Amino acid sequence: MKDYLFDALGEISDSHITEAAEYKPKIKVLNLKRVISLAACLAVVAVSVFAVSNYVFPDFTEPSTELITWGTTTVAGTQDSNVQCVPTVKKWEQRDYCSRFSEIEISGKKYDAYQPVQIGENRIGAFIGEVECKGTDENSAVHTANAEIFEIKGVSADGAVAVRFKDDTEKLYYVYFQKNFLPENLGEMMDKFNFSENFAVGEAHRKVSYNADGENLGSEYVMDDEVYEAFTALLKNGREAKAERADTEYFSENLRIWGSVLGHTCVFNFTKEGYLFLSIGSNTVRYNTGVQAYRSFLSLVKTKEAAEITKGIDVLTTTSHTTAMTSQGYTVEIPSDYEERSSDIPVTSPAYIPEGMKTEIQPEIHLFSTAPAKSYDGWETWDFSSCYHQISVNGVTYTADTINRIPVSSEKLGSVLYEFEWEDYRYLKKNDKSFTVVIYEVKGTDKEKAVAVGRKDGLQGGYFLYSAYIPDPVGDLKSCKTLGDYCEKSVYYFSVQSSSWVTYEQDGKEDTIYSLGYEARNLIIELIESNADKKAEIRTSSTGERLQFDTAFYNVEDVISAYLCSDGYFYISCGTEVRAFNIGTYKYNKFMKKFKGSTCVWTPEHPCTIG
Amino acid sequence: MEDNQIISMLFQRNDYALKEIALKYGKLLFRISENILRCKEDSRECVNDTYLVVWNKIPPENPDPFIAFVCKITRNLSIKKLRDRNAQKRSGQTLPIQELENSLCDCSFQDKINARELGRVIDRFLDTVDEESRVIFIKRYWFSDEIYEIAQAVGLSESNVYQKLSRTRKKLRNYLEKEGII
Repeated sequence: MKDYLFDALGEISDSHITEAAEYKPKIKVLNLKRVISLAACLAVVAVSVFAVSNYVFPDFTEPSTELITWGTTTVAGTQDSNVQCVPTVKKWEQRDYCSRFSEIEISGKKYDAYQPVQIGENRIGAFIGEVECKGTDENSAVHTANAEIFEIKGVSADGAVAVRFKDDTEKLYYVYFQKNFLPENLGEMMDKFNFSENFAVGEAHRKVSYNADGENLGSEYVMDDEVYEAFTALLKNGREAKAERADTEYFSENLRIWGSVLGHTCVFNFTKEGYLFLSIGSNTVRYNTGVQAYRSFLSLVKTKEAAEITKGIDVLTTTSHTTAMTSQGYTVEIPSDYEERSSDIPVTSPAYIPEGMKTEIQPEIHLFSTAPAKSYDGWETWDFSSCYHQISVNGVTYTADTINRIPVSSEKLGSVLYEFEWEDYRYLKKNDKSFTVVIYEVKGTDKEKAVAVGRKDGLQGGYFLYSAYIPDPVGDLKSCKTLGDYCEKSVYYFSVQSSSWVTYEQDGKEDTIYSLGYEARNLIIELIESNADKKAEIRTSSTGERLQFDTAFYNVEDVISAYLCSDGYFYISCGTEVRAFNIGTYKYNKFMKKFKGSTCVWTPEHPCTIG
Repeated sequence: MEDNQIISMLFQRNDYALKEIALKYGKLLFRISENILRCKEDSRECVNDTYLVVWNKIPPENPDPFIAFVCKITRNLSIKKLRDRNAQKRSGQTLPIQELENSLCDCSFQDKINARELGRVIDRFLDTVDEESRVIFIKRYWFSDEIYEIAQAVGLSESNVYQKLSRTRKKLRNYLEKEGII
């Protein structure tokens, strides 16, 4: 079948391949009213999460219809898979100027707009000159346009410029970055981009490992103030770090921090060799910040992790409605006896069953991995469910909850269903050729619905719950009795994250917060927890003040939105279903007061209008 | 350098064209190959072989778009090498295409339609989905890109990419059902 599909996909047309190879993300339009009306009429609300957080870049304007994002972008409400839509390849006329002419050349230097980001007129500096730009439309016809190039105040034109297209009736300024900008050192880069004004730190992610006692579990690490301070200090202290052209094919990062420069996504990847790979747009430069700096920073991150340990939640005994909304902690235990393998050893399958356990009919088992097929210097920092998000046993697919990562404690392990050897060079101990994976029945749970899977040697966090459960968010919403009941039912797909998008609407005007931040997220979680007993009502929301945030999801077809209204109700909508939970206007106002003072992310042009 | 300039050089039998291809597309081709073969040495070999094939095919061919042309060569060479390697020893590996295989695994349509015809149906299907979903689908199953790479490329979170892939697979299945293939 694999070969058959390989051959079949070989027939994909050149235009599709070219489109994918050259694809660049585009600005998406989120019109809240339209989204809401579509949600009501067509069961369509599609939103994505995961933008970088903490605070915002300054001075980017007019996001009234177009959201300027970094990290990741939103999905327009008009493009939803529930609607049989016609092909939506954007015609030339439908693209904004920045997407039409994504690359320009100024005095022999190439600049590109990796993401379409606009900049306010008040940020525009000296006029540099005019250039003719070329772009290719969907029929491969070449178009030209004249563009005016300006400096961005405080930013060196070596790094980025503002571009305004002469024919653009809206007279927008787009930010273009020099593709091959190579400064002398980290300090020069920060100065040229004027980091103090134009740089915002986002989330930090690090994969961690756990003790093998089955009690701890891991989740992505989220930036906090202390790590933020250490990170910015690392940048300040690393000013002399020499810059080199980077080959991104071969680095294996241990720690990744997202941010934005002039509204464009940038990613800092730290490697154990002491290099900091910084990607701004399509340009990656590495800086030798040193092993010591990296280690110090990493040790701080680890300390923070250790300080934030919370016990793993045993879903089989703890059915708290908060499960879906809390991030869980972990401890780190790095085994000493492993060695890095070269990546030319294939990850093998299928699983094979030890002799003693063989039965007449051999099960067909496969573990599915989404982790990059590269050799890691830190596989021990990945929990099992992160390494393998799915397992297929005789055609039944079980999926791990990669958001909440649910460990199964040893007391809850039932009988062994299968035990097999699995070869994966990425996660082998020294001198081993494979490791043993065990699939356990979970006590009190039908094995058709869920199993516990993990390594027999206890590494990578013990055993995790893999569920054959198919999420039914609409059904869950329809059948829920209380807010807590809904949270409990939706444990696999409903969660509020610090990176969630928030839209605020008042008197028909809307505003966008790019990401919640952990403080604001915690406030929402607290609000939900303290109102878990509120009964579900069918009700239409009022048109007053409204704060809508998008919830994380995984394996869910219908996207879930939750919003608070000044009528004192907390609404959850999914598809055509909406349920309201009456928290009361007093609690609403109290919450909003706190929320306004929280560290959620607003644009300077849109100061916290609710605050 | 523009693709048409590279092709012109190839027509002039100027081997500098190969250097330009390596400079412009080398990383992409290497990634395509490594995604399939998971082996740097083999991947380098495949990419080098790609240059040779390009040299031999142009002229007389004058491909447009050039990028799809070179990517296809690398992919085909890599798949061929993967098959040769797997024939020599019993070892499979986890490839993104297995997700697709998994979602269609209970469908016995291999007897009904040959791979090329199925490919054309899938290509038509891709015209019916939105651009972003199509790009994600092709990046995942044609280029065998990792989820995190796709997420970075399209500006979405990894979970969002998963979700879009899942939806597109489901739609594909429905489409194949409507077409009477499964």
